[in-house]
Amino acid sequence: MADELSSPGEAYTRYFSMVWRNLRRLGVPDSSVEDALQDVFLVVHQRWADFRGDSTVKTWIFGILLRVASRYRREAKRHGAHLELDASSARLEQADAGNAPGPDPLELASRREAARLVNGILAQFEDEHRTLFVLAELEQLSIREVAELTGVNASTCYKRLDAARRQFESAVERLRARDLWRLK
Amino acid sequence: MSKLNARARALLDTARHEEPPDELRRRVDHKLSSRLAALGLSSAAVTTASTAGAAPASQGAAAAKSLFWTKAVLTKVLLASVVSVGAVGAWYGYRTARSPSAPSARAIPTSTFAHPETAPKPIIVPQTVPDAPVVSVESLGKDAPARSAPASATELPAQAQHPSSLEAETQALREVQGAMRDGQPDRALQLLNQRSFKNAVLDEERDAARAIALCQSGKVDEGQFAAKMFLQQYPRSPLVVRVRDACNAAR
Repeated sequence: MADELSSPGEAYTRYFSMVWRNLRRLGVPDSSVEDALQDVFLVVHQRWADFRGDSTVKTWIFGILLRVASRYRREAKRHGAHLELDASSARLEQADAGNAPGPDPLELASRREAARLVNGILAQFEDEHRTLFVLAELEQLSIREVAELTGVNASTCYKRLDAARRQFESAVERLRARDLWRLK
Repeated sequence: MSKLNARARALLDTARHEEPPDELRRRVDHKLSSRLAALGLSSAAVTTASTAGAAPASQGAAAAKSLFWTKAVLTKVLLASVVSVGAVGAWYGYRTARSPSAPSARAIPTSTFAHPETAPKPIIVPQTVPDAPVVSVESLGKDAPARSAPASATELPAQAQHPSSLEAETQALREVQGAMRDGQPDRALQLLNQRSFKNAVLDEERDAARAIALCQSGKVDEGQFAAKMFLQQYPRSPLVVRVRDACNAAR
């Protein structure tokens, strides 16, 4: 197994960013992402002993992530939360940008803006389309893995993914048209 | 099946590499370490501010120091676990021992986060824990208050004392496991009926526990039915073998 890890701590170190990105993509409100992150890795620790290697660790963690994200989405709907970037996470990102050594600030800003746009588009998707799109297009899992994780058969996955791609392209075109109009 | 057009692909490719803010990572490290330690699942070796600027040449010494502190805190955490959450550690040990394929690293809870070799950035322990190179037992008191020392797992207070629903479910499941380990499947069933799993984060474990408890308590028909439903719903679950074994033995 390519991503074989020997402890949940290693899984945490390796997949922290992946889990964070996908919780946001899957519609967990920014104000809840921190709690959801903890929940995902708490379950990873609790179930680590039961993991038998039938899938990769990444896919296994994705299974947990999907369930946690679904729960937080339900809670958000119940409480009327929205998916916009909230003030606290914006402050966090600003503070971080101020003292982050790492990559070029312009590059960071570009990634952040792209992620904001993508997350904004995904927020308009139906849950099932969003999940498929995130798994297949952003995380580049195989259709077999996507089908296994979502419990949807492969041919339905293909159809829904195709619809999600068209929806995503349309949204990108709309954003572009809006930008062109603004810059006129 | 058609692919994404180039413009959409370019946007996705840029967004794909976004990284979380370091501040968030530090906060989650700290909170998760505390929650895990409070549950007796693991100690959390988090490097200190003193190692934050350490040169690569000193990594060996840092690793040795980390190991020392890991051991020291492991001892403290185990003691704290006994005092604060009763049979939690025993429950986890029981689960681990029951899993033949569990790697040895899981049997002895050691460093959880920030392995010196793999951690992308050292993690600074907040000011509230001065000079502590790891998340300390003191922090357990802050994050896991109001947990008195119960005599046994089955006497643990109800979920109302637990801050999150996930922890409530974990607590409930732990009580169920404790009853089953003590050879009280009827008590386990009673707890399964009383406790709330409304968020269904651990529904797979709950359903498996119910099937096993029914079979062990002699309610064979109900147990077989629960096992059948479990196997239908979670055919790939790692708990399938345990459910099958428990219910086959009850026949």
